[in-house]
Amino acid sequence: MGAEHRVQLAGQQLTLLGQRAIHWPAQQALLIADLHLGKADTLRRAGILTPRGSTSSDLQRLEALVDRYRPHTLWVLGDMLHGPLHEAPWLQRWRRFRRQHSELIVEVIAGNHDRVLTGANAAAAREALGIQVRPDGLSLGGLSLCHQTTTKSALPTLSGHLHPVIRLPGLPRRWPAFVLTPNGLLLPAFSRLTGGLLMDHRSGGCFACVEGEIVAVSALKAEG
Amino acid sequence: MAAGGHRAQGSGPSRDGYALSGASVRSGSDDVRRDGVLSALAADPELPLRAWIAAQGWSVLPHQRMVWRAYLDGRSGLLHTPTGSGKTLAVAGGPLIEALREDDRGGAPRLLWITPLRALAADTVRALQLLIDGVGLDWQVVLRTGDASARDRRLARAGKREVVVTTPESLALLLSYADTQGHLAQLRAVVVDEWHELIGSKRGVLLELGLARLRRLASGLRTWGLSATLGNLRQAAQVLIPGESYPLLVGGALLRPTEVECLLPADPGSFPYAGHLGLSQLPQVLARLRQARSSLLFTNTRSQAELWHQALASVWPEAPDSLALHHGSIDGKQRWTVEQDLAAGRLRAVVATSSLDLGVDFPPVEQVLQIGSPKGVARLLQRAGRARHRPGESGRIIGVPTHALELAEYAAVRRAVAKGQIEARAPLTGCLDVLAQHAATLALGGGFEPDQLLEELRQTHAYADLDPARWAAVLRFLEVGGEALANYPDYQRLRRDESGRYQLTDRRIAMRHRLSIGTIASDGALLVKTLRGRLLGHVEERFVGQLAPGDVFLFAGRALQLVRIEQMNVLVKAASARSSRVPRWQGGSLPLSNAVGAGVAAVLAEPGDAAERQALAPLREVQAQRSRLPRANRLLVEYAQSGEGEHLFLYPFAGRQLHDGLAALLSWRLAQISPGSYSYACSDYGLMLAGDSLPALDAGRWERLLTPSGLHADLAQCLNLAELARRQFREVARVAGLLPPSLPGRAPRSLRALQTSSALIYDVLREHDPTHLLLGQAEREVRQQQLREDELGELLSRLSALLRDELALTALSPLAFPLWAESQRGHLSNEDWRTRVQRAAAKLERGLGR
Repeated sequence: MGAEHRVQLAGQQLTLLGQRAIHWPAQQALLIADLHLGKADTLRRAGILTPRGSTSSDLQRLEALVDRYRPHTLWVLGDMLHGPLHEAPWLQRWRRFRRQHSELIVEVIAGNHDRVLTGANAAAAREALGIQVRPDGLSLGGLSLCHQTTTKSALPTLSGHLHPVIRLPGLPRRWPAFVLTPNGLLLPAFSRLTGGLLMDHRSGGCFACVEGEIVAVSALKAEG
Repeated sequence: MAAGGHRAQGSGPSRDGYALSGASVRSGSDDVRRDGVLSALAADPELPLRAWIAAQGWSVLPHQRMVWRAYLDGRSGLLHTPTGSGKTLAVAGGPLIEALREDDRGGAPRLLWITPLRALAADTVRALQLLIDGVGLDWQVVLRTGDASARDRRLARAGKREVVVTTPESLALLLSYADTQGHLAQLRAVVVDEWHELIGSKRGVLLELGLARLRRLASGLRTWGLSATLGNLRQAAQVLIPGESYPLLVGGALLRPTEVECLLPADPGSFPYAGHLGLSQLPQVLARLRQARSSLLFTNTRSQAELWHQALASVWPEAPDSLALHHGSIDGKQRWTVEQDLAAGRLRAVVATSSLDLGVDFPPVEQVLQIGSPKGVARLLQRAGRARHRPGESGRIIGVPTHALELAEYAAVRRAVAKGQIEARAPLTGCLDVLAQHAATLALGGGFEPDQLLEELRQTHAYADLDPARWAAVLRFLEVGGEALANYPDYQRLRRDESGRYQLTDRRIAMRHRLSIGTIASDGALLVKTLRGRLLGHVEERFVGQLAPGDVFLFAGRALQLVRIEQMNVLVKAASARSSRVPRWQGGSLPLSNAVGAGVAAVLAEPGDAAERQALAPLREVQAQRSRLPRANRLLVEYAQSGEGEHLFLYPFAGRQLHDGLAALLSWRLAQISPGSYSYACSDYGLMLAGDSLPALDAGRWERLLTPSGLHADLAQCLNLAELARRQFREVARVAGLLPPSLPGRAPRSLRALQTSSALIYDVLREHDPTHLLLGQAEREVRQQQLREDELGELLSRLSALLRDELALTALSPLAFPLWAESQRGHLSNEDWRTRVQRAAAKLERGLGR
């Protein structure tokens, strides 16, 4: 236990991180899903007056991971943005992150929230964010990367979208978790300002992210 | 002359014209027509009303006349009376007489009728229209609730109808339109039906605020409340009609003595110690039902109603359609059919929940049965009152205990009834979430000037002590989000115009606000429909989440098979298989009132000559043998061990709610003595603390556990560690408009991007704005309403002074068993989350988790 937990998927060694990300040493890559940048801003614009700070604390966590694992590429498996692109504090904060890590390549698989990245002004948006957008279901090192698992792909899939969370008997809260499924591995949402879909921890391998640490909750029955 | 300023006093015929001598008009065949009475009207405007009453075969009752008179004298008041005593006539009579006297043709709202239950509103509309037509007034009654048609809503909003029947939430909605506020200036009377249901809740507070606004709009407005019996009637009247220290209280028909009978189990020795179904009593209940022409069978929860209905249906010897089911989740049309059949005498028995506690009278009902715990004195009396009563006869209710301890509850209730001990319902004060909602409503309904509004708010009981600083904080929350302005980029919900008036002008925010008006937190409800689209009712999302297609469950009195879930519809078809799976609805576990709780201890200690004495003997025997009976002036304590760890049982008999607070407190104090994680469970009689191991308790440690000193600081720890404030925040955030409205059915597209949860916002606020107004409100609510700090302090003083009877159990005692079996447990720990999650995960690995 601790901040990391290693798993094997299709022969690839992946390190699950308690900060809701995956380190993939062979690819020099860091993977996250569902960053939902600007969500608090969207809420405020709609009159749900939440205080500032949630986006910058998410980006601080991301920065710490990048500094620690020094990846070549950051993969965002969808829903990088929550809504439209406004000139807002969160955007400035993201640009600062890009300036300070200009050598880092940010590859984004557009999710259902990322309409800005695929719409009419997509090129300008990509430019503004300093990212590249990749097609859904692209394969990398024997794994398939996508936002939303749809039909069975030939390769095991790393995906986001669902924001999986689990709860444990006797404990009141729910925790974001990595969940092993027959199709591959579901990533928890990186943003802390997200809800989640409750998964059954008995269905397969689950790894809960608890205050920066990772806790293996149930090993696959087949292995045990 | 402005109609609104017209007062009864001094105008019209001499007051002797309404003298009591005319009270017993009994000419049942009088057929009064409007033109026929016009001349008589000048002399006696009561005549059409009296004639109509006589035509129904009734006579004018003294309390009706008294309320008419008081109303015409310009007074407000509270009428407390059992149902079926002509209360509608009593409070509607005054405004009608006034209109007849002044030949008031209406054209604007005159009478606003507020009811807590949407389901009752339609009946009220019919009853009032019948009455108005009967006295020959040219007035129209309109429904303005969530169920009203679009046309009726429009008419109500436009002020085109003289009588508007509505709920507290729909009143708030009306106030959110500036033009409607203008029409409401013509109001002369407001009636609050079933006030006892509203007082003590945030809906009551919302109504207090709405009334304060109405009083400002319509000068000379008279308020009449209707209430069942409460322990604090005078206070209830003062809250409804603030500013009068002795508001008028009118007692309706004399309180009847009520007999509480208890259906004793055939074999008391095998009667269980816990459980809630009590189907072993089925044959006896059936026998009782067959003795009466028509019965109401009340249960405490909707699940219990479904199961009893199914059980009765399977043995029902009469025509199958003479047995019916009625509860709040069944579709309104079906409920209405049941009510009509009941009123027409077509039903032999109806299994019902509190959905039939209120509202119109059902004259054919001859007897009332209560399944399970009586819960409280006032509640039981209210239910007993649903049976037809003949003058001079006492009321009666047949209790059907479902386990042995409920025998003691019925004995305790009977003692309380004899002594006239009826529970009070304390009104809430200072709820900042409701205040924020109301202020936003007024900002939308034409805007407000903050100092003027503060003055108006302080007229209410709930905000009489609102100080300017706190009011300013509420305004800042509404305007920008919080006190620490740097935390909130400048999106504004409210804006101030040049004159300093607050206005809400953003159309999207206005729409959201109107959608979320109301204070009842309802969890996502899904509609239950047949494949052909017939609506059966609604269930909560949580229940549906446990079902897979093909699963069979019991709902609305039939076995249904889940076909699929589509958007927010649960599509079902009739199932051939039987099932005992029943939806669980929230809010099911009503606590036993304090009055009954203390009474149970006394009955167990000494049953006296209670009818339940024999039936209680086996329970008392086993309790005495495995542990000991609770004694006056002693605190009973039991220790036990199980595979789950160690258990400590305590029996203060103070009701579930206080036990809940006490258990959280004791867990925290135990964790201070010996760090760790503790879980707790509560019943109406006592509480259980459990942990992997519990510290040994000597006299010094007992003193530390039970001392009243340090209570306030300790509770602050409890409500965070036990996550109580986090849970309470949900309701607070929703009421205050910090959450997008949750709507039945699919959320409109515009709301989907706003999906968030109270837990997320709670965490964000704790981290980035820890002094936020609503965090403080959630904490206060937990302290006052959930943990009951004041009462808890008194309880601790009492308990710490008691000697203890401490026993180690080798087998669970009858009092301990229900606590041990309780599945809903609270948790408190001073360990970090990682340790706790790891332990839970390790338990799962060992196969111990559930």
